Amino acid sequence: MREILREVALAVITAALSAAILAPTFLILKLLIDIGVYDAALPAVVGFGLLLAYVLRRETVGR
Amino acid sequence: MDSGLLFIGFIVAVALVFDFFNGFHDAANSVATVVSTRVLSPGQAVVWAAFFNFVAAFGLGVHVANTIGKGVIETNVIDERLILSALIGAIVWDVITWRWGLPTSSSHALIGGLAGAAIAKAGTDAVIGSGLQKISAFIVISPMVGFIAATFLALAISHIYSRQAPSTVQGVFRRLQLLSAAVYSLGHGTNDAQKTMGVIAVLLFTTGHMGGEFHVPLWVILSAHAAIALGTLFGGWRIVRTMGLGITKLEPHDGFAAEAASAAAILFATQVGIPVSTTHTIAGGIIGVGSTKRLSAVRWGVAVNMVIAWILTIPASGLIAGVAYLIAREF
Repeated sequence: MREILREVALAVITAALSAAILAPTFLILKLLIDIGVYDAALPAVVGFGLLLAYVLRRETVGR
Repeated sequence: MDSGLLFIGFIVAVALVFDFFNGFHDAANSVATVVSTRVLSPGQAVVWAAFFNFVAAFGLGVHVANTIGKGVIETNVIDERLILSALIGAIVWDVITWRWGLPTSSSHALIGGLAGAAIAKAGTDAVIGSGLQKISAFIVISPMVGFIAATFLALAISHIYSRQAPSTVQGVFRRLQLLSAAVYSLGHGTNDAQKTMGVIAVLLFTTGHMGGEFHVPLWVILSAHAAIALGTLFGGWRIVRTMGLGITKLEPHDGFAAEAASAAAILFATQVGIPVSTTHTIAGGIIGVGSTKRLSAVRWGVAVNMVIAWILTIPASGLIAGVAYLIAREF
């Protein structure tokens, strides 16, 4: 019972934390769209995605 | 009953069949991770996803339906034949690519169909360039955002749980996957059903069956959600495996990260009124979590096929719809 309660508590904390991690990504995108820069949103997202993929490639080499 | 109304009823039925097959085909995306990690049985998972597909009818707005109805092509060129041709273009392209095994998007096919039929009828002026540009940008933005958000979430989760016992991690994420699958199904239900709603609503509006102002009637909202939920329900286990296991091997915490990030990306797009491919968005999320282990863990062929699908879908479905319109015009 104690273990189950612990798992439920951890699940609630993780869900809240996930929302806190995801929210800024969408706030930035919404900001780009609200100021009417659709043209900037595409290269910004793609550029950031490629940069992230590059960093992951460096960090995960040899794993 | 006059033949004009019967013809409209027939087109509404075709649109709902398109919606049903959207749910049927995408059932795999909604439940693959909960089934492959054995959180739910295939039967339970499909009912779970279908329930949230239908619940999405309430409270999530009709921004995407408005975009489909008023933001892709000029409403003054729309008639019954044009809508039927657009649906034919989308359905035929979906069937062709299903045979080829290309992961295309029904949403992009529908938009291409609308644009192609409108161009065949009234030339390029009939297409709302800014609307099509916005939707085209999100073809790439949506899976890329799914990728980025899922990567951050997967990295944070692996950091936070690095010192926890594997049994605890399993227990936590088995529960959380129920939540992420539910939210993903909400996103899938609302974004995809609204495309059908938009098509039906604009058909009713332009044929004078709606009154003076464009809106989405409640019966259209409920029937579109019922169609997609039934499609998910009948989609079943046979096609569940592809998405969860086709791109990279998933653990429960990976499944949660991919689903939660993709769901957030789809719900975000829905709120800003952009129709997106739910399949491509979750594929981006799954690639994101796979990349945090090592890039070679991802089967990049799936990503390459997705890019081919991005490039081909709108022009190809547009071409089929255009030809369908030129034929339909003769009758």
